[in-house]
Amino acid sequence: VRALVSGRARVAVQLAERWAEVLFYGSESDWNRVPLGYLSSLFAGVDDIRILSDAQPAELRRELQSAVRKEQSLCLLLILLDPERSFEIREQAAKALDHVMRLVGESDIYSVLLSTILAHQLPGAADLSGAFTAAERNNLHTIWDLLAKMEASQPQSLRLGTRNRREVTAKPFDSGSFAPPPGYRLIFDGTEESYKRWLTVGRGSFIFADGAMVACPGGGLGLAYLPERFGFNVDLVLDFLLTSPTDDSSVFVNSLAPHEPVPFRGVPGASHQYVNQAWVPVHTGIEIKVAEPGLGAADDTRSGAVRVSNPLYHVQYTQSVEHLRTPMPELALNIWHRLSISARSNMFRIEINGQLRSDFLNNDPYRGAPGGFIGLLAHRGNVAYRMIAVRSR
Amino acid sequence: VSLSTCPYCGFQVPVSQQRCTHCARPSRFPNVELAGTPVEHEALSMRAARSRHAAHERGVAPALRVLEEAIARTRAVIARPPTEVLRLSQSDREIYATYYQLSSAGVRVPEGNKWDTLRQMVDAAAFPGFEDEIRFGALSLDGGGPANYGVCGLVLRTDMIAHRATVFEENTVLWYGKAGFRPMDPLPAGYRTTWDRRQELGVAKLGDRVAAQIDEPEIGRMLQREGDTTGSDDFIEVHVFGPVTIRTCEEVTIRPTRDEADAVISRAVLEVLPMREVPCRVLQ
Repeated sequence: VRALVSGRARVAVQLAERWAEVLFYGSESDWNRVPLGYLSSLFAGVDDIRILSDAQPAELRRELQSAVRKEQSLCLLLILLDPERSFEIREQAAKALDHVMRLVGESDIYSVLLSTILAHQLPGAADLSGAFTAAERNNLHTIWDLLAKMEASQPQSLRLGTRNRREVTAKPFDSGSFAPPPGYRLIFDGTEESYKRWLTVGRGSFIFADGAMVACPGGGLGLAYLPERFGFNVDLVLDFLLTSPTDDSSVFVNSLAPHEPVPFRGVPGASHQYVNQAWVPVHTGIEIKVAEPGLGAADDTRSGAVRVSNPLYHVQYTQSVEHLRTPMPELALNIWHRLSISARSNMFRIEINGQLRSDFLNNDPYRGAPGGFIGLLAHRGNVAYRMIAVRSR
Repeated sequence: VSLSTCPYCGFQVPVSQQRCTHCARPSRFPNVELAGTPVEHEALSMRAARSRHAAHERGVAPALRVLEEAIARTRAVIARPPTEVLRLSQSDREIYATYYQLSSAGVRVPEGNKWDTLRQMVDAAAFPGFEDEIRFGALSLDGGGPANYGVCGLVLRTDMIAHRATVFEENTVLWYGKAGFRPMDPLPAGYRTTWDRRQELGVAKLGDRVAAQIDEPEIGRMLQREGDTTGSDDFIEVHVFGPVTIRTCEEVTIRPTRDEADAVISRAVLEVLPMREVPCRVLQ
């Protein structure tokens, strides 16, 4: 035995014949020569002592830094997962953990977490969704990836998306027979093959069930989008089905590419990659609601309304949409409704079941990027889509 | 887990425990027995009397009485890093308990290795046969502990430790080194005592440092002096026999830190402890 290191006690010790040289973490002073017995008080109650041989002082200093950082990282991750902590503290923990992982190296931290948190089932009290949100709001890719790994390491039955999927697959969706209007091209035709052309990002996902694409939210925003740019002038037709008044989804047109860096609003030349790419169309596209919370709910929360969310990620909100809405009768649950979106330059016309619902002008140059992407949002509930067709002009 | 109420401190304890996990009763406390012998009392009384006499000769007897009264009000503080304090404050919550057990499982030092042998050798002198039971702290007036051991101070409730705590002149092992004793030598009498006589030890140790004018901050600095190196830190060491939990704490103090991760963890501690009905404050 030549040296001892403990992240929990926060000391590194070099042992000599009759004394020890001790280095405290965070201490400005250098190594301190102390009698061997001094170690008993340093290591009292500590059970993470690493015994090293032939370690040089510089190497021991690095070992100590690393051991403490690993201890801190475990602590920070638990704070991040703790729903009883304030969201502010959890966000700070996410940022500090990101910092620690950069200092020590992601792989080193992973190795610790792999043998602890990632290796076991998350306790029921852990709040993974809130942790994702904290990472998302602070654009912390490393933490998002860590949480995604953690979620993936959980038993199937505990994954939020999987839980929702089970409920969904038990539902007999009557996708029935359908045909696109003349001149339209099907981008989802009810087959698994066409479903597989769609990509999913963010929390939650979509599944293919009974000829439909069904949203399976995972505790945040999830998005399915087709990796294909459509024209500036595009017509989109699709059928949707709501199963509950709490279901909440959206259809996006003319969004920027979710997987590419997004320019900052008002900062020419600056861009950044979103952590949760499901937010990209929320901030850069035109969002049309698919939800039926009832007649008493705010009109812009109901199907066919265009919605301009208050953006995150340092993007300043602007009042961008002049909007006409036609009062809409309550949509029945568990039957298919047809949504038609017609985009002409910045003019958009929305119909539900052949009735004009919205007619609006987008005057925000940041939104509705020409040649943009089409996407479907998984937010709440199991909204189903079938027969999605486009016509570019 | 079935719980019962400790008849001494009133907190809940698993029925499987032979003694209270918060106040360690009922139990024998060998450190108290060793420090409370008539020989120890007499030797310390003689040291304190010499100190008082010297203070009288120097004309600082009133200041020494101020010091003595202040030390009688001191509390025991265990200094720990915020990671440890968060662990302690969450120990009975599932999310933490699960992972704190797991986190240490992979790196635990095997029984009977060289470190255990070494540790037992040096501990055995001061605490023959019960070295594993001792928790180390320091006397404090303001609730702060020796910073090198951690920025958080667990300020122990006097009613939870008075029956099982003893005090010693300074850090036991450093004292061994300075005094020229070998680790296996028994402690000489007059340098340790029971909790209720800690002011007597303070008078004996600090009497010759007292000036005519003395105030509380100065007494605080006399009680805990941060040296150039950790090895020259100076404080009156407290030895607490048996377990310490968050319920043993009267409050927790936190010193500001420049370490970003520790600062966040400290803020979490500040948020958690009031919810566990343990006051927490930041020291300036």
